[in-house]
Amino acid sequence: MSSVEIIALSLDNEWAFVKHDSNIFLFRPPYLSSNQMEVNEKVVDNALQLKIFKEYKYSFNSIREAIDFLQDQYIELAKKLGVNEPSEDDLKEFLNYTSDEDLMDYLKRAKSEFIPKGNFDIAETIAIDVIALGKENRNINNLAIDIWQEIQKLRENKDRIMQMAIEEKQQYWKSKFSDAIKGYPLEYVVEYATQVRKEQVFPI
Amino acid sequence: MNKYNIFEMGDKNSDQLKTCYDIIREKHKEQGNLCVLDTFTELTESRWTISVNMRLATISSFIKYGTYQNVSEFVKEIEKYSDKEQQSSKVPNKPQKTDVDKRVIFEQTFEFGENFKYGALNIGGIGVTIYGEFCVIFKRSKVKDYSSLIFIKKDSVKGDYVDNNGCVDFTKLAQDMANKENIHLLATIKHEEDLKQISDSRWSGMLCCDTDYIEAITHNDIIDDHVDIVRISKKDRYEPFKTILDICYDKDKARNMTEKDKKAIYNHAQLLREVIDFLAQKKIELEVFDE
Repeated sequence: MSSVEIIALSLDNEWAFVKHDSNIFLFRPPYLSSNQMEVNEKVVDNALQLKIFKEYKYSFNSIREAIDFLQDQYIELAKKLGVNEPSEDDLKEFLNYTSDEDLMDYLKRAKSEFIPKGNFDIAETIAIDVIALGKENRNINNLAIDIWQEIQKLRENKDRIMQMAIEEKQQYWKSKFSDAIKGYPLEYVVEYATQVRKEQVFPI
Repeated sequence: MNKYNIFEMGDKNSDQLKTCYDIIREKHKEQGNLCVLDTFTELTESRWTISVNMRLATISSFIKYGTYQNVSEFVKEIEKYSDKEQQSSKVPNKPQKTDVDKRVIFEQTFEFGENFKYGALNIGGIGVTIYGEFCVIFKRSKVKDYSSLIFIKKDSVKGDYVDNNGCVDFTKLAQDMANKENIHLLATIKHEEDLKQISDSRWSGMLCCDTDYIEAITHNDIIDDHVDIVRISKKDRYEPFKTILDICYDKDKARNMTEKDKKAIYNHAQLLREVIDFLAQKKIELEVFDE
């Protein structure tokens, strides 16, 4: 079993040095894998000497357990600093703080990945959210509008194909029961006809 | 116990610094490197200021309350908070500390030691990031007005100024200090040999980075009005919000996150957003540093 140990914590419990087997990592909020940086023992000694970290010895059964512990501490600290749980609207608000580069990457993914996979709803949400930001960057706005228009076209095409399929089907029934449809609406005829079981001459 | 005045010690070292600088200048003149040396000295003299690196929670509290707390003040406040936490038995146990606390000894040796605030000499760059991802740069005009400001060639705790028995080496310390009028001389004396190998575009990083810096000490109040700009790396500025994009739009990535992951991400993004907004309100530029 691998050993996981927090060996030092910053004074506010925000940053931590975590020893995993023989490797040491600096964990920073929100403690996802991208916030974990491998360091050597010298960095830890330095941080302890500078008194910006305090020494600890606290063992966990897994990295996940250590992350849970640090996240609990961080959530407490944020609470102390008056941070509230964000609402749905807040999440959209965060988009204002993203870089143009990251927004562009997501728009490109919407075009090259989400649309071809048929995930129109998510691609459309991205495009609309970005348009709503009213970015000054014309390339971003233009791409978002292109994506939205492409989705509308694809949806129209999809609707047209569906319409054609429906009309084709109706045509089939009309030609099959040309006399019946003179006296009854087509949907009654279709409903009646589909109730006829195999080898049955008339419906019961 | 008799306490010493560190700021007076720095003032008294001025003549020694000037003599030492003249000798170095002569040496570089003979070697034909005078131009580089002079450029560095002039650049430092014209651009020096101090920076303090802060973590998100620290800068958040600094700009909310308007005053920067030194380590002792900060620890006191956190300990109050930690005591409550200890009762809930969730905080790990500290191992017994046996070695000498050099910082405490250093501060106890000097007048106003408990009020010392530490920073670093800065002529550009992102500072000493091991202290925090936000490099808060103070206005030169305000810093120049501090009644107390001293620079030490190395970190006061790491620089062997206090030995393992807790004795302060006053001779060594006195030689390695400069007041604000002579900081460019101290910087030049420290880095005269490095200048031959390091190009001018990297001088700011050479002067102030994670592994080495010239420490600045003041006991003046540091308030938010003194802040000129704040620097942050591109990764630290944008990644939290990029992760929110993933949660909103990438179901696969979001599925791999626990509810606690998401909560920690939201809290982090929310704190960062508050800091960005506060800085904007106070018209302090947040400069994104693309490493």
